[in-house]
Amino acid sequence: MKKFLFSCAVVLALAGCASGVKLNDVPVEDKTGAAASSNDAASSAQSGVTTVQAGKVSNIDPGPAGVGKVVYFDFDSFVIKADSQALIEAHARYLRADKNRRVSLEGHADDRGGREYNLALGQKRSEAVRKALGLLGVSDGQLEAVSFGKEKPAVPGNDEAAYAKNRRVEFNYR
Amino acid sequence: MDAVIGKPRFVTPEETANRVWPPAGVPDLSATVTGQPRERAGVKARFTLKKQRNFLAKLFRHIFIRVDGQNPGTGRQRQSAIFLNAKTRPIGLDPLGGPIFCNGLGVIGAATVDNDDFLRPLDCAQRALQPRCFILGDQNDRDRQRSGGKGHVWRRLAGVLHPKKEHCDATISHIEEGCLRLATWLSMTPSLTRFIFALFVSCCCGLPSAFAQFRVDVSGVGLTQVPIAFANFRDEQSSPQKIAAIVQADLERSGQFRGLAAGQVLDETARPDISGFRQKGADALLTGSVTRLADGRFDIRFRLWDVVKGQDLGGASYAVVAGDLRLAAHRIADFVYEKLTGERGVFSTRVAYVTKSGQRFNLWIADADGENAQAALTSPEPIISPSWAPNGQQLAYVSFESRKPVVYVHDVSTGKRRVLANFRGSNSAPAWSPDGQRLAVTLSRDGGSQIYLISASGGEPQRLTQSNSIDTEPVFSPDGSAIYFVSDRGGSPQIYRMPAQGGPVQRVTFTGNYNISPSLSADGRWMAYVSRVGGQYKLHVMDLNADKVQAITETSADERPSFAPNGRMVIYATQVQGREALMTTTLDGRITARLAGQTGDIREPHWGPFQK
Repeated sequence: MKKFLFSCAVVLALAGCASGVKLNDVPVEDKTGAAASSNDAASSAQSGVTTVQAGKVSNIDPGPAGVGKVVYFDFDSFVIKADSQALIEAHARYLRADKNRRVSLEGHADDRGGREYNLALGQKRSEAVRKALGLLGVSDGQLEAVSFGKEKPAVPGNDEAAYAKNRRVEFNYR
Repeated sequence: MDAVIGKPRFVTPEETANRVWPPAGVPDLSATVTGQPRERAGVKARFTLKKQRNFLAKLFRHIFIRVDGQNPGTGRQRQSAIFLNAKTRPIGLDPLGGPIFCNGLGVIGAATVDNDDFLRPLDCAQRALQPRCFILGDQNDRDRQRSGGKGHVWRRLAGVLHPKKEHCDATISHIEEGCLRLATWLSMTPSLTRFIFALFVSCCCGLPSAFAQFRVDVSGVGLTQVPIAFANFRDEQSSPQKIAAIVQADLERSGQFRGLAAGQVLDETARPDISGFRQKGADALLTGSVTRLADGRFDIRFRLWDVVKGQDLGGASYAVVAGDLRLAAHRIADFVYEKLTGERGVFSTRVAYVTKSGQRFNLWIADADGENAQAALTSPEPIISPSWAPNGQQLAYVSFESRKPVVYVHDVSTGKRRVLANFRGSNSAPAWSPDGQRLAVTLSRDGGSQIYLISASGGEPQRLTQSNSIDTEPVFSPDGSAIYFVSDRGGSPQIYRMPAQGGPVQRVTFTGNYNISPSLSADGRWMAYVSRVGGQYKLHVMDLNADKVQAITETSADERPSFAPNGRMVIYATQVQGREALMTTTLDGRITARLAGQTGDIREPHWGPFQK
């Protein structure tokens, strides 16, 4: 967020030099501190685009020790399998122990199919885990079920082995 | 009459004085012909001439006209009967470049008119609504003392005729002329068989003319490409962008044009040597100039010439900064495309797309040819579903930079963006309403992916779907009255439609068990979507009026189709030889192009609107 605000300030400062606000291909200052390139100061380009750089979000909580952080699913399914039950119970205990702990349940789908539909499939998976945790007594305010769809595969590849590793929900403690 | 039977030819001037007009079988349209048409004596035919004439007259009310030819050199008279084709066919261009219609009728197949007969500019402008036309020969005809053909076009079968001296062009193909001659010859006898044959032939001749566009056949690469010559623009070297080359590349990429080098510098004020370009085989010529202005901007001027008719089709001038030079060239390509095909060009539109390079994701904005890409967003986390606002200034998209999907609205030129939807859970699939006031989005805030409406300035969303299934990928119909979306309420993902404010849901796709990613054309007639067929994800196009579906690509990993604003092309993401690529295709799948893009995996295209 700070980076973004600083970038905005840089952009606005540069904009103050030109008669128009629009800049042509001015990259916002990145982490390595490279200076923004000069723009066509005379007037604005109708087809100009200004680049925005998004920063990274870091984790602050490692979660329960010694417990897996991933629940796997079958193809086109959001049913939690029996062998994931122990894992979910372990996480439920961890969350019940401290009401301030928050976890983001990140659902994923394998690479096949459209992005938005797979986002919704991943969402179904993360909500299944959320419901399971809720049934084990975790308060809903500690949970957020989100989805990455097929955007962040754990294992790249187009074979069934890779697909099986990508149909998952990850526990991401904040 | 006897002399004509059996010979498909038109009467000679000598016969004109003696013969009866119109020939048997051709309805008499002229109120000024005195006397009744004579019936052939001694012929006992079930179909008398009169009956034939009346029948044809009723059937082809607007088809037959009489052309009085006059050889401009000798002044000799000729007469022909010729077809008129369907009302919607333009048969020429006025000096302003607009298509003109001759009484809503075209003229084909006149024996005395050929392809390079031209219009007199003054008369044309008035003519569009006037009932009649003249066909005027051109200078070549005069030089060679051939008949250029002054034609009186008779207005209708019934009604009084007022031949006026107006001029119009006739564009005739040899096929049409052949059909005409055959039909006329066949109809000249009272034989029933031949009469029916004449009907059949005239129907067949009428039909293709009704659908043929003026001059350009847009049916595929290599079949018919309009040859267009490009002159070197005067002072083009002063510009960092080669304007004429960009225009040529645009037009050639459409598959409907073939570029020729003019080999000379011609600016927009020059009067080109039309017959010279005709000999080169060009149908059109583009000339122009680039001038650097005192304030650093560039003044781009151009003129388009119709080489076949030797006419100036118009031009324009654009004063732009260096950053908009490519845009000016694309606008020129749009102008040429629209003048010569009648369709609005999309060369000056932009596309948005996403690339992934290692762990870096970029959202790019590029020209419709894929060039001049500039990054609107760069992020270590994924970006999906870019969606242009109808004003072409803003882009909505889903960014995962907060480690969850959040919908942003992003002003492209300033880089200012704001969060539109960051509710609990996932926020995705933004789609603008045609008036730019609202977006439909998919939110999981109430559990499950459901579709909501949210004001473009943000705020509390209004829920539209109420189901326990996945409802996502909303897209507005072009008139804003309905929303098409994907739902698996029936057990597998299919495309449905509901009113834009929510309400009863209707299913739209019925073939296949996996149909997603709808995109609608601007006229609301076509829907492009992805269907899984035999494990392969293939782009399909559905005619919503006719409920017909067609798969149009050869690839098997198609995603995210998006219509061009003129509804003639679709851009989509796919894989070619194992690498992600963006492709454009016409709706019939015949003309395709692969877009140049930035390096890395490339996906999620969205075609922007027409630029103001």
